[in-house]
Amino acid sequence: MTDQLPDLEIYIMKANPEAVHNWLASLFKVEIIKSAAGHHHYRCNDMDVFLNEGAEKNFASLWFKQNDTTWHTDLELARAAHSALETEIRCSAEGWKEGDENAASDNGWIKLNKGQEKSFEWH
Amino acid sequence: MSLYSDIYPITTFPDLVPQREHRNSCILRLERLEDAIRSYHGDELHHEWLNDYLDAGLELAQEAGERDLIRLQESWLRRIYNTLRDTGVNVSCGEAWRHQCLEYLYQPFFALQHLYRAQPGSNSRIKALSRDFSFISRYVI
Repeated sequence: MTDQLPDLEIYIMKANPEAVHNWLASLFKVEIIKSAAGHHHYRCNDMDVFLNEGAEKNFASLWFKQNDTTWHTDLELARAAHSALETEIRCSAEGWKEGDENAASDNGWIKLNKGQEKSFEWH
Repeated sequence: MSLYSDIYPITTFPDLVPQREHRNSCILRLERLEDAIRSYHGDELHHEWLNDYLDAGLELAQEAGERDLIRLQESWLRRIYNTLRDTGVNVSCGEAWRHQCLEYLYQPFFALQHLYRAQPGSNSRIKALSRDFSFISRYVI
């Protein structure tokens, strides 16, 4: 079983902040702490969640600073977001972990688009 | 009325444009140097390539970190670590060049280690990274 990551982060293509907020609100009790200039800070239950619209080209980052969710990995969060928001989602593969001999050579990223998951190298 | 229309005024961010252009030029520089480093088969050592490459990669990582893009930050560091590591063990490259690349490997190694130490629950990542670095150091250098 995969260990629960202490934080979660995904990248959302052309993120609509209202859609992201509504999705989060369907899952958690959401309070808006700050929302200005493309930066949004939500309190989702007891977690701090940040949406940064201008993270990377057309992608916004969604970062759960603490992970008290049922998602163990970025990929699990990415799948849920892809299903709910119906847009391309990118997430980091797990990176270095014990027993993973290929960690140093994998592509590092996973792209979820139109129901497909593909490993790729970003940039 | 949209929830965001009051608190999130429609605006442009002209101050971000030079920042983005600088980032893009940094990425381009990194990609060119990466190709040069990986495909170099000569005997002359190009310290300046490695120094510039590390500068570009570490700058991109730092900039991502400052914007709380933690996975991107890690991704840049892993990329420069992997480039130096892969070139260092590539037997088709010259021995002196391979050795030189591995001598620079400690920089992305320490940066990754520092990043993981700042993240709770990253012990397994630190162990795996350290084991890889230790293996390369013992085996090759």
